[in-house]
Amino acid sequence: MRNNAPETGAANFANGVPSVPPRVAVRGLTMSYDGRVIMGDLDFHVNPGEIFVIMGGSGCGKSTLLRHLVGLETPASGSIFFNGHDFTKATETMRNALLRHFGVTWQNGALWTSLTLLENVSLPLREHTRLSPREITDIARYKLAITGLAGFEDYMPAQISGGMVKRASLARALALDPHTLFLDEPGAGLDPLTSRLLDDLLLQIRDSLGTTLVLVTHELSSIFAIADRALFLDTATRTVGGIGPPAELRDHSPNPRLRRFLTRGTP
Amino acid sequence: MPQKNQSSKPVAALAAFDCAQARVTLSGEWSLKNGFPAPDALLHEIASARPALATAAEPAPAEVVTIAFDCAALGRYDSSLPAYLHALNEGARRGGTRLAFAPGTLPDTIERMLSLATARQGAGTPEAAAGEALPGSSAVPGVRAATARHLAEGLFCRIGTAAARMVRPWGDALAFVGETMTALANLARGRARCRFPEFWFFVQACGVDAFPIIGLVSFLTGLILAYVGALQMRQVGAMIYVPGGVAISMMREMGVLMVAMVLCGRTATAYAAQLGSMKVSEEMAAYRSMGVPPVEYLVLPRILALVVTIPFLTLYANFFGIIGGLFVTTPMGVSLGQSYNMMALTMTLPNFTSGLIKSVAFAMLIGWIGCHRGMACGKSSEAVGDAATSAAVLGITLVIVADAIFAVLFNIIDFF
Repeated sequence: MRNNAPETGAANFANGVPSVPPRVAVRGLTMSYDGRVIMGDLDFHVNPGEIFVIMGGSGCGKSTLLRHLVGLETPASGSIFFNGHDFTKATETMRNALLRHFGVTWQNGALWTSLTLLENVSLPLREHTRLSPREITDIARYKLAITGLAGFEDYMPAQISGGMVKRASLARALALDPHTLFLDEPGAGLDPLTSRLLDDLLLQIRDSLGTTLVLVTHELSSIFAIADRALFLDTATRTVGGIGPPAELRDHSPNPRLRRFLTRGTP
Repeated sequence: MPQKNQSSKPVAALAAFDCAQARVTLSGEWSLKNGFPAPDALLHEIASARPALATAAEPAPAEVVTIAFDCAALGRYDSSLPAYLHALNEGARRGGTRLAFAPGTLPDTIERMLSLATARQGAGTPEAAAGEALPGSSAVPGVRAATARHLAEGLFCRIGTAAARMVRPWGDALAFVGETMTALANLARGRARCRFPEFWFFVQACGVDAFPIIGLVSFLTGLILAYVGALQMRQVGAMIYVPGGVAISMMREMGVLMVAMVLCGRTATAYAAQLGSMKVSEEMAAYRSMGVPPVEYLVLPRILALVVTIPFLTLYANFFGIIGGLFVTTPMGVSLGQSYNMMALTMTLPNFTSGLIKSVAFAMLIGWIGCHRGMACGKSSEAVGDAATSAAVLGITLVIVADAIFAVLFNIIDFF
């Protein structure tokens, strides 16, 4: 099921040290809410072209970590580097320039409900490029076609199903050819078949476009199907409970909570 | 994406056409920044270059034209190139022709990106998706509060944290004022990203749709004022002054106040609920994560719609209030002619304009409060209800406070 990373994005390792700079690097990140630490001392990196999964039990702070990664929350301490640039200390201009390279999909799609699917995908292009309306429409139609929504351009988000909302959200996130795509629970609320099709689509996107994918999920089937590496947020220690290829973590991790998580509690 | 050091305009040109096969040269730099040519131009070139096919006695129902690409002069490209080829395909299909791209003539990445779109074409038809499930429930992960360890330990730290927490809403409110002012300044300079279709929608929602309720409330207010005035004036035989009194009250105070009250209950709550719901469904986060300021997109059209419509609503309310007064004074013996003459005496510029001046300030206040309560909303359906309630309560309170300030100011500058 897993494919090799494309030549544009694969990271080569020598003695465990990546030879290309990581796409995303998190150093000593502590996330807090209302003065309380949710997760602390997080250290990890995501390589270009990698499918990286952030996993953990419900309420452990996976989505909060994602919000920190895309700059919607301010860390209590620590830094987040994006292509070597410190995102947490970036100026407003720098920040907006970096955001231009992100694509984000949210747990429930978060499509703008007053806009059609075509307008939803067109909006980032209108905001960040100087393309003509005709060019924007062509690109938006293509992105919708990529995600299997050709023919639905004029539909409103309320008129389509949950799986289609997720795919339209993905099309919107891909609008500006982002280097990195952040996905919050892409398979949540979907039936197993649609969820599997979405996994296939994510693999195809990575393989065709060389996009780096950072997913937040706790769906084991998706984790084993598409993740190159996975990060486990451990609620017991409130920090990273393990990081590596999912199958390796399941079979060889010294962390029993992580092994239990990946085997649905079976010994 | 392949990188070549070439920077020129993207071009797709027909090099030759023979035996239903077109040779197309792709050159230049294809980038989302630069734009790309219209596919119709190439389609037209292909159509005019194949007279033999066009004049064939029995053309096939769906002609197939194979295109072989020459990419020797192709520079850097991103998804604008597959988007162009996709649009080319679509354009040809609409014209009754099917395009087949000769395999191996496009770069591998482009072929893979195109196959992504074409492979999923069937799955994307409305019929194919008719059976898909409707959206499932989603849960926002909570934060473990009770067992979490504290960042700030010790008495002084806790007092400081509590104080900071109390002050934070005021700081947020001030920041929102700043953001709104910046957005308005950007709008004045023509740099704001205000969506005008939405502006007209809100003009309809907060203005035109409010006419019936404002008409009724204002009519009844004028009627009540006339009854109260008549109670005193009748005793001294000065009933003739009642219509003028009603007109002054409506123009200076009651007309604009009634409009503001209705808008607080109708529009501020709607704004708070709309924006609050958008926050719950992460639509707001989607704007921010794409570097699009939600204040310019969501707040500006709402506030501007109120500012534009409220003077008209105020004039309308004044008119209906005066009519309500006449419904009381006319049966009590003040003729319409006398009423007109007395009211004409009260129609001074200060009386006429003071209500209108206040209306614009109230519109800013109501719009700002409604939007702020929505933007500051929590992430639950209960929080949306709270946001709407607080928008109404805060709106009414601040409108009355602002009205009192205006009364003092007008008194100081002798604006009577």
